[in-house]
Amino acid sequence: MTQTFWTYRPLPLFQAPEIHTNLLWDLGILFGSISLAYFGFIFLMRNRLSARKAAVRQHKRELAPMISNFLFYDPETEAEGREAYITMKIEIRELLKNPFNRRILSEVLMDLKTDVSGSARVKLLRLYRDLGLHQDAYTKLKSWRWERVSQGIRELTEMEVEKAYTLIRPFVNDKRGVIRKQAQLATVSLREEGLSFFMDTARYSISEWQQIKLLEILRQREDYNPPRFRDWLTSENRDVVLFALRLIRHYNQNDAEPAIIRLLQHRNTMVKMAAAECIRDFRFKAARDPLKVIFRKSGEALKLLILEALSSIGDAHDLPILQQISEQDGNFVVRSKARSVMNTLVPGSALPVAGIDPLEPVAPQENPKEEPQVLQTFQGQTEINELEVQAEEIPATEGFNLKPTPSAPEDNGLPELSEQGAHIPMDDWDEALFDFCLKQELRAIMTQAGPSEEDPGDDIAFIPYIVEDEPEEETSLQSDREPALIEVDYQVVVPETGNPSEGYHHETRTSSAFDLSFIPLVTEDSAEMAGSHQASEPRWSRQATDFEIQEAETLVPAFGLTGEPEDETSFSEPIKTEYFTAQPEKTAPNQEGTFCIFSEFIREYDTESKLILLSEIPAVGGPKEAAFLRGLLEDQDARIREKAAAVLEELNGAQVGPEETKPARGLQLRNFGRFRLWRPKKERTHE
Amino acid sequence: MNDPRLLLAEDDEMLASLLRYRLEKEGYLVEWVSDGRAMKESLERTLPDIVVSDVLMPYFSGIEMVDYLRNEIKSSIPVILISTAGNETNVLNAFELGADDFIAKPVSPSELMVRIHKILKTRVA
Repeated sequence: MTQTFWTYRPLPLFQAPEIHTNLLWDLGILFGSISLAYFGFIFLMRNRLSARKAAVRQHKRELAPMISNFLFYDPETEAEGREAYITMKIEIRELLKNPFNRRILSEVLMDLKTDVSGSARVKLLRLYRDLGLHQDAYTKLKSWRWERVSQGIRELTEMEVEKAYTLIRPFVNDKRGVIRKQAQLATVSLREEGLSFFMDTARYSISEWQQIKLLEILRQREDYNPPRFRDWLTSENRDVVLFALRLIRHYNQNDAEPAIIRLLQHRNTMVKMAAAECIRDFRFKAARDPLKVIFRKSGEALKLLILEALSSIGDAHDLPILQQISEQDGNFVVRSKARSVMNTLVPGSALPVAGIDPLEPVAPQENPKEEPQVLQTFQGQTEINELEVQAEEIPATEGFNLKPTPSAPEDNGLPELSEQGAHIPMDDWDEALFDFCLKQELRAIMTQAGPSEEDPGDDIAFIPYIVEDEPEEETSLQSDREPALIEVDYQVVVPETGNPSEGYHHETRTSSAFDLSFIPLVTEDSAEMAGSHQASEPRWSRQATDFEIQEAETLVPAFGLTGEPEDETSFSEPIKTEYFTAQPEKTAPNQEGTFCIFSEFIREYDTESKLILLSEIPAVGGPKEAAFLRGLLEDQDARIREKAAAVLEELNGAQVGPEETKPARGLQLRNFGRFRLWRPKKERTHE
Repeated sequence: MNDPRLLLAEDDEMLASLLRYRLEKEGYLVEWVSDGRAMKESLERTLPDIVVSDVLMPYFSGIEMVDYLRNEIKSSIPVILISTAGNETNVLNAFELGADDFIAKPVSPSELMVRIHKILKTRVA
C-alpha cells in the first residue's frame, strides 16, 4: 500500500509561492520610488553639472578680456590706457575674493599657458603669481586627498613657481603613486639640482613612461648643465641605474666605461640592454668579451643588441663566434643578425646559405700539396665561374668538411658545427677559424699580386697555429671511417719473478688494437703547439662520439686510472703511457704475469657479480683471460671455481687463432694517450 | 587704407579670445569663428583680407579650407595655418595646396602679428 502511494502520487517540482497581494503592491511602490529617486538624482546632477559648466564658460568669457588686457598692456606705449588698466586690476582683485573665480582664473591661465609662447607666456606666469593664485596651490598640497595634492603640485609645476620646490620635494618618495610621480616631475622641472636630489633619494620604481617624461623635461630645459650620471650607476635602485644609463647615452657621457661594462652582468635585462646600447654607441672595445659571455643566456632583444654592439666594436676575431651563432642559435632573427654583423665586420664573410644547391664532390687531386682555392674573394666579390672551378679543387683538409654533402647545406668555407662539433671549445674555434680566414686573406692577396709557382700555403707556414694540411687523411666531421685493427706496442709494469716485493720492470709487448688515430681530438700543450707549427697532427677537430667516450670510460679504470678528470685542465694534460700499465698490487692472481682486465672486478665484486662477469668472458676473452680463469680454479668459493672451469672450457673451445691476434679490449686505449677522450661532466649532462 | 579684415578660425575659445584681443589692438577687423562650418559660411559670404586658421577644426579642417579657397572659390587670399608641433605632414599638404604660412602651437602672439603684417605687406606691394 505504501509502495503504491509513493509510486503513483505526483510530486510537484515547482510550487507557486503564496504571497499576499498587498505585499506585492508594497514592493512595487518601493522599487518605483527608488527608481524615481535614482533618475531624479541623475537629472539633478546633470543639470547641476551643466549649470556649473555654463557658469565656468561664462566666467571664462568675462575673464578672458581682462587677462588679455593684463598680458598685452604696455605701460610705456599706452599711457592713456593706464587708468583703465588700474581699474581692471581692482576689478579682478574683487573677483578673486570668490574661490570659484580664483579656481576659474587658475584654469584659464593654465590653459593659455599651453597655447601661448614668447613674451605672452612670461607675462602669463607673472600674472599668476601676482594674483596670488599659487597660494591656493600651496593649500592643496596640505590636503589629505591625493587628487588635490597632485593637482596642486601640477599647478605649481606648470606655472613654474620655483619657490614651491622645497614644498614639493618631500613628495618625491610619497607612498601614493600619483603624487610621487607628479612630485618627481616637479622636482626635476623646477630646479636644476632637482634631478640630482631625485636620483639620490628615489626609492620607488620609476616607470618607463615616467623616465621618458623626465627626459623630456630635461631636454626642454635651456642652458642645462647635466651632472655626471655615472655617479648613479652604483645606485641600489635598479630604475635609477637604468635611468642613469639612458641619460648617459642621451648626453654622450662616455666616461663610465668600467661601470657600464660591469652592468652587463646585472640581473635585470633592461639594465643589460641599456648598458649594451651605451657600449654600442660609445664603442667600448673592452666590452667585447663580456658581451660574448652574456650572449648565451640572453633573450632575443638583448642578443640583437649584443650583436649590434659587436658590429660596432668587433673585428675579424669575432667571426668564429658569430659564425657559430649564425648556425646554431634557435632564433631566426638572431641568426640573420649574426650573418649581417659578420658581413659588417668582414665583408663577404657570410655568404648566402638558403636555397643554395651543394656542389658536386670531385676526385681527389694528384698533388695533395697543392693548396685549394678559396670559395670567394675576400672582398666579397664572388665570381661564379671561378667558384665552380675552385670548389672542385677543395680537398677535405684541416678538419673542415668543405665537400658539399646533403647533410651540410650551409657550406660556406667555414668549419661546420655539427652536433658533435658544437662541443668543440670556443677557443679552438676562434683560433682555427682565425687561421682559416687569415689563410684566405693571404691567398687572396697573393693571387692579386700575380701567379706564383709556389704553393701559397707554404708561404704562410711561419705563422704560428696554422693548421697543417693532411689531405691523405680524411678528418671531416662527416667521416664514416671505421677504425681498423693495427699493431700497437704497449708497456706493462710487471713484478720481478712474479713477486711484487722484489721490484718491478717494464715489459714491452705487442698487440692488436683499433686504430683510432683518425680521431683528431688533440689537445696539445699550447707551448708545444706554439713551438712546433710543423706538427703533423691537426690541432683541433671534432669531438669523440658518445660511443667512443663510453668505450674509453669503461676501459680506463681497468688500467688503473683513479677516476675521471675533474676539470677541463686535466683533460689537456697528455695521458702518459705509464698510466695504462697494470698496477702490480692490484692485479688479480695471474700465474703467467699477464694482465687481465677482469681481474680487478673479480677481486672487488661480490659473488653474484663475479659469476655474471665470468659468464661474459667467453664473448670477449682471450688467452690472458684463460690464464686468469685458471687462477680462479683455486678460488675459495666453490661456485666461482665451477663457473671458472666452465668458462675456461668454453673459452678454450672458442679459441680460433694465436694469442697475439686476440687483443684485450683495454689495449685500445694505447692510442688515446694524447687525445682528449672526455668531455666535461656538464656537457654530458646537457646531452 | 581701411583696416584689414581678418578671419580667425580657432576652436579654443580662450586662445581665440587672446589672439582676437591682440589683433584688434593691432588694428585688424577680426571675425572669429569656432568651427569649420562657420568658417566656410563666412568665406562664402565675404572674403577677408587674410585668414588665420587652426588646422584641426570641427567639421572642416584648415587644410580643407585652403583647398576650398584655392580650388572652389579660386581665391588667392593669404592663409596662415596654426597647428600643433609634430604635425608637419598636414602642414606640407597645406603648403602644397596653397597655404602661405604656418605657425606652430604654442603660439606667440607677437610672432603671429609679424607674420600677418609681413604677408599683407607683400601682397600690397
